[in-house]
Amino acid sequence: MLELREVHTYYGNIHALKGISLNVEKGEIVTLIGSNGAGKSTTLRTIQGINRPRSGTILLEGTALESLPPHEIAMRGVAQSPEGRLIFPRMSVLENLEMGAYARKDKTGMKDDLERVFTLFPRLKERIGQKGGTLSGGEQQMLAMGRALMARPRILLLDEPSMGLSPILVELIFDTIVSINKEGTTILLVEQNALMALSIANRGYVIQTGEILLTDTAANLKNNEMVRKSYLGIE
Amino acid sequence: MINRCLARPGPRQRVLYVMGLLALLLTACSFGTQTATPAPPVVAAPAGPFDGVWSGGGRAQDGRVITIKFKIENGAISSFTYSYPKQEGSLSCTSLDYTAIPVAARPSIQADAFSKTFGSDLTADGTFSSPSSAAGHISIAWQGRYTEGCVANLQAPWTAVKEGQLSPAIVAAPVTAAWCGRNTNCTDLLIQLLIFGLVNGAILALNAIGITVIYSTVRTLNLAHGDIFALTTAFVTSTINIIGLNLDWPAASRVWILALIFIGALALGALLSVMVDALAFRPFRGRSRLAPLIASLGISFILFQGSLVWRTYQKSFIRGEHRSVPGLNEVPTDGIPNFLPAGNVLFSKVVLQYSDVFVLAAGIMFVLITTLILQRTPLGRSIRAIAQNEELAQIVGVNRDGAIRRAFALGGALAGAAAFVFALYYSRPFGQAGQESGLLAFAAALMGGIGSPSGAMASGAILGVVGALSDYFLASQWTPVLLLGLLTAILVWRRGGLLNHDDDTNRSETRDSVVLTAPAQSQKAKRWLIILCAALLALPVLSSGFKLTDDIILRGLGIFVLLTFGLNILLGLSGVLDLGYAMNFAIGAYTAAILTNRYGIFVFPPLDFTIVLAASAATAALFGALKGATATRLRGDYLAVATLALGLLTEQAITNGGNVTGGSSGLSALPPPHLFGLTLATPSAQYYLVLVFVVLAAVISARLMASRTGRAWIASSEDETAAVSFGIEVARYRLLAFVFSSALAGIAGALYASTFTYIDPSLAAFDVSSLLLAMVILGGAGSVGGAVLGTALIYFYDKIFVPQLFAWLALLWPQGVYIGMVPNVRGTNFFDFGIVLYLTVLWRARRESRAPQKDRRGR
Repeated sequence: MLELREVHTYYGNIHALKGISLNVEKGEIVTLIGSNGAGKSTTLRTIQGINRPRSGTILLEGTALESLPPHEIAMRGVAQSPEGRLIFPRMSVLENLEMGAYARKDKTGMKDDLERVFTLFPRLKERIGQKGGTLSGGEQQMLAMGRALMARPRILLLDEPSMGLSPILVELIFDTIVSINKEGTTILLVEQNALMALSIANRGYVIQTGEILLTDTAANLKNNEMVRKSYLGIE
Repeated sequence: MINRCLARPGPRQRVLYVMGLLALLLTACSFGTQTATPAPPVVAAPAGPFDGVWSGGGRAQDGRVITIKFKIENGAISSFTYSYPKQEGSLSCTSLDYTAIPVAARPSIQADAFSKTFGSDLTADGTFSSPSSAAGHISIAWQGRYTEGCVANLQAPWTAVKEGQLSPAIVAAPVTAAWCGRNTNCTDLLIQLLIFGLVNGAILALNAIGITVIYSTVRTLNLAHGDIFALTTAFVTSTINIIGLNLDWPAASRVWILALIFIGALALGALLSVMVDALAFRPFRGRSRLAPLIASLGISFILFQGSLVWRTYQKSFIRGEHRSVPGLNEVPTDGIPNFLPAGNVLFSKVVLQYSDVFVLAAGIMFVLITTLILQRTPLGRSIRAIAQNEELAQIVGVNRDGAIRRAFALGGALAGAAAFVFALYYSRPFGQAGQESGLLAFAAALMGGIGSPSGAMASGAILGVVGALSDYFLASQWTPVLLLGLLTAILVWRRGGLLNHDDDTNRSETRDSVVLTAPAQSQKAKRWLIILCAALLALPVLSSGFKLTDDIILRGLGIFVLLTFGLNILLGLSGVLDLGYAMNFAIGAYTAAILTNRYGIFVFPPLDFTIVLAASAATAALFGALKGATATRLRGDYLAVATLALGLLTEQAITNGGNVTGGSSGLSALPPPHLFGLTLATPSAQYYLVLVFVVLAAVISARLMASRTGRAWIASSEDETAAVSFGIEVARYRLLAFVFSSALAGIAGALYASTFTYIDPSLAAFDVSSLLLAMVILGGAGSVGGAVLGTALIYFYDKIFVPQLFAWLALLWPQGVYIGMVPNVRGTNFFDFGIVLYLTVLWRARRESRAPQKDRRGR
């Protein structure tokens, strides 16, 4: 469904992605794990068009994305919950969710989608009129994910959904990711919490200093010696 | 005051000017059918008990005695004249001609009282206490260009008696009788001032709304916004005049045509604004915040020239204006009929015109509509999303460039709407350079919180009322000083606005130095500089025909080079955009002039020039330190706006300086520099004097750049956070940069005053600051050679090339065949500076973009 072929991205003179190739099949959860600064977020930003790749191709169901501006990529069904729970701080929870559906051409069923988000995150319903900036960290993460879901994306890019959250909330968020996936949304998940990520993903990619180090099914990666040592912290 | 920010009635016209115009709309005309207003009867009243010639007068708030004379025929005033002494006390200034008021426009005496705006300069009201005595108020707003010393905003209570009854006695009201004057009801006065303030505030707010919408998306002040307003005002008035729309037209068609013109104004405003975005903002998007500020400044000059040319073409000039003055610094007016209904809404002495209500209602309506658009429509939602988090907005599918373009269109349409209301309200609107006009509107926008139309309205009202109170209780010419000071204070203390908080956390400070500065210069360039210096040194000796004119041009160039060196330290090294740099130059010049002028204390023996220089440098440095102390609390464009406000404030303060500074006419016949017992009176001596300082300043600048201090400056301009983490006290170093560059400007000022022998407040003008800015940017900020080169190019272009071009054109212009006059290339200097500023910034940014891009997230 989503395919990256030899993607190179630069920040000025810094070669951030050195030929990333990966693919995500329909209905899958694929995770991209790696340490700080490995290029995980850059990969998502490149898919979204915030950073332009200098070379390589990005295909979404056969359509080339690499030369499109970010908003057109969003309109083609790519939604992202970016790193650091980005939300619109001076819009209410409801407005934030409505902004999520901004790129959608048909607005029918928006009510159902809202209900779905509120079922996944009942907390958001309680806070519906509150300004996004006044929510707690966990609530902001829920809002960011909920907003991404409102786009009814073909593929959902999740960047560090567990960052800075309490263990209970991390559990909740990951459960939600699974149930979103079960409802039919393809997910590309970027995580530092490799253990959690691998436990829900179908397949995984390990990225290091801008290059894909290895790829396998999640179960195999979990048992891989190197992965266990470097990313799972298991000797 | 507020009014001035939208238009330029003259250097010192304030809210009182509005007061003058306020009741202008009283003149018999109405919008369609007469509403149920106590409108003045169209039929002249029968002969009344007050008929006859009246004379009297009063004392204005500044102590000047005003005499008035009016004539009542058939119970209505048929003529009204006033006169008052000039500022120096000599001769008299008299009113525009109201000796034959048309019957229809004569104010009748109703209930023993009248109230009337006779013209742009005069408003008066009065009450008759007996058939032979009357008392009232008069306000005079004089902006005649060629009657120096008459320019004034005066308010005075008056008393008058009917001639032939008693001897005419000018009963001057005691200046300090009561805090609101003897003949006034204090409550009425306060309510009246409140009304003036609110109306002015509403007009201010109309522009502030547009500014706040645009600023919220691009986070850079659009200095061209005010020019869009000015140009659209010109469009509205001249369209009305071209069509010939007047009060004789049927009411229905009047309304329809005005509605069409309104739509035209919206469209033109939106179109111009979108053009400003495309030219001045889009090329720099995501890379720099100062570059578009400078680019919009360039566009602002170009648009200002546009409205000058437009009005010149329209030949619409107010009486007393001359239109063959090159470089005419003000836009003449286009008078239109008063289309708004006349009459006082309130049944009291307090005047609230229907036109005031119209302006207030329009203000509130535009606020509501804008709020609705921002809150309820997809367009508004995309604008707010971009304003709150640009990157996230793109992620959810907002087209960034499209949303910003639409924000510009909305802001421009609001400027158009404001222009329409403004034109209708004043019926004789003035256009003005946009930077100033935009500035107070920007203050209102900031105060109200960026992105909040209702906040802009509220703070516009506050600023308006403050201005009106200051006009009355302080002195009107100090109101701009007060308001500009207020703006600076707001910038410093409430970065985020009063009603709303402005979170700017998701934007990194972009490195403007990268766009604006020049690459390091080579050894080769340095060698050329030395050769150039030698040539300059030898010039007067080698050229036997060294004429006074050459000397003046070269000396002027030298002084400008000194100034660009100073600005270079600020912009090129420490990365501070100072839009009011000329203020330090003027302070230095005035210090020297005050110390040495022939009425001063040090006439004999003449003060040595070293002392003059030291005093000028010290004074300028002191003010520079004050500016620096303000500025170091701010960053980026806020800092630029604060320096702009301080520069304007200085110009105004010097103009208001009375005998000390010579007011608007300045100080003249200053003595030449007197150095170690020698009087440097010859052109070559003065040339060498300036040259010595230029070389000295060049050497010191170059040394500074390589020094520890210079590196600290560069470090803090490249990345403030990193500099702080290295232990560089950024604030202290910035202050040092301000002090140093101001001292240099002070020296340049002293040299200017002593060798050019004449100075006036225009030395501190914004034009000078922006010209210097253009010179520094053209040469490449941060390089000594570049500063010299940039200055020389622009200076020679302005002083040599343009006059030459004009002479050649005049020579070549075909005679006999009528194809119009020789184009006045000298009169297009605003266009020239604008285009230079704009193209230079664009060129530097382009060059930068060819180099590998920096990570704009700063990660």
